[in-house]
Amino acid sequence: MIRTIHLCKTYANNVRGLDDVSLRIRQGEFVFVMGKSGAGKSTLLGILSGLVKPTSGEVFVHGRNMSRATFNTLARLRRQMGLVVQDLKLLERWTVYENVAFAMRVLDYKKDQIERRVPAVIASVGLAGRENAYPGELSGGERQRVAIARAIVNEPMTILADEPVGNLDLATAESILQIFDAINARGTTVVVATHNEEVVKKRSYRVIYLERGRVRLDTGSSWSWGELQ
Amino acid sequence: MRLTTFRFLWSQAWFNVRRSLSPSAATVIVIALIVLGSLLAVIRNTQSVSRDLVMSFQVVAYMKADSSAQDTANAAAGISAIPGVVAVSVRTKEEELDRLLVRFPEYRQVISHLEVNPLVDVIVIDLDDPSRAANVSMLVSQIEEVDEVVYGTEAAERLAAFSAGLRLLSVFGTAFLIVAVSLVVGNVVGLTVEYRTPEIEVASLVGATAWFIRLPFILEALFLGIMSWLASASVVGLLYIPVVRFFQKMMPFVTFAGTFKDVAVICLQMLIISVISSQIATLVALERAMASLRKR
Repeated sequence: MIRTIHLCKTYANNVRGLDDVSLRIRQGEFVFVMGKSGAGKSTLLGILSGLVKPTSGEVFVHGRNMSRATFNTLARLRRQMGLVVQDLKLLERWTVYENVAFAMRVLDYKKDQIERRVPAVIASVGLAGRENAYPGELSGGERQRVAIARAIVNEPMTILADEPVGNLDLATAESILQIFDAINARGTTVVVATHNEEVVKKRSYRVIYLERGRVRLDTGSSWSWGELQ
Repeated sequence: MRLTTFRFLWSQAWFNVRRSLSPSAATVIVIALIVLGSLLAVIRNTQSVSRDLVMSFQVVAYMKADSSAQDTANAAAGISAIPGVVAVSVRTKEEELDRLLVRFPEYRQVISHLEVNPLVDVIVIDLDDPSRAANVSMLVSQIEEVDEVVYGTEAAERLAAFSAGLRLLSVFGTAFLIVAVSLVVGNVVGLTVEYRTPEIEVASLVGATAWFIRLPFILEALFLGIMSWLASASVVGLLYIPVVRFFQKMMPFVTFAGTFKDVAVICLQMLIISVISSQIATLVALERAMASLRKR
């Protein structure tokens, strides 16, 4: 469960990132956060993941208040979340396998557990056989899949993905979204920030539309794109 | 933490030492540590010379003319029990006369005509600290059989002040060196931390605790500190004894710290300072990087 109460974020020079955003996302929901550039999508996901501090308001993720969490509390919370950030943050000197395995090493998994689970997760995102490739040798879509594999390898309760299909062609974007569909089908909460209407249109997941930091629209869980238009 | 995870962090630290420790950075650290070792050697030898001077400082008690050998022995025993007295030696009046003849052979003729030895028994008192001279002298003079107590007041005060000043200088000198080496190592480690900010960010993203993030850097600084120490201690260790022996020959009247134990102590001090300063520098650089992650 994710809950935000009167959430505000003001950056330097009085730039408003978020303005009085109150939301409730239930466990197992799939939510698209949409909006134009600068609408506050990344700020919202940044706050939900503890990467950005809100100026005011409260954020509760899995029952914990993120806005008052210490570094180590945030660390424990992030172990229950999978984060896919906009710039992916893959480590270029590590192979695909090592990038994904790193998330498990942080959680101090046994060697045999890592050796068993990492290849399976890499295969589940469609990268079987690419374990030993370096990020620099991968296409944009493949890099995105590595970031997703790293986010899901610890079987988190929630996935937060910031523009995971931003610069991808429609077919690749669709295949990435299908991975998120499969993750959500297992009961994981998925929050995807995107401005790609095409992938949203094909699904009837809840959409939260942001404009200048405010929630302009929250569809709830049952709706169709036609109604929205 | 599991052994597998620790081994992974260990291998990362070792990999990063090899990757980030450029020859120029290593040279700078090694030179800084050699300078540190040289200054530690200077401090140690100055202390040794000072100790030598202090140890040579003595209080002399002259017994009364009519005191017997037993009186002198009793007085010596009483003096030995005074705090600050490290050694007491008795010179009989006959020994004193012999010393006088050695020092002033021209008076041999005159002295040989004396019917009675005019000198008295002397008790020579060695102190652990010249600043105690006045107090010890006062206590010794209260012993009934003691006629007179003599010591160089001015010399004692100067020596005490010199010794205290040297101790203070050593403390400040060592603190200064730790700061200087920390700054040099800090620059190198700071660059490494900056270079590895993406790794810190990824570790933070996937839920690493502060200590999980710190550990590879701490290990890396440990490698860096020990490797730089090995190189610099080899240079200091090889050159120390020959250099000290050279100065000992030039100034044979003072005692330098020229034993292998002294070399070992200096190298150990270098190791401790090297490891502590590299750890301090690493933690400061890391805290900066981690604080920037929290500030967003």
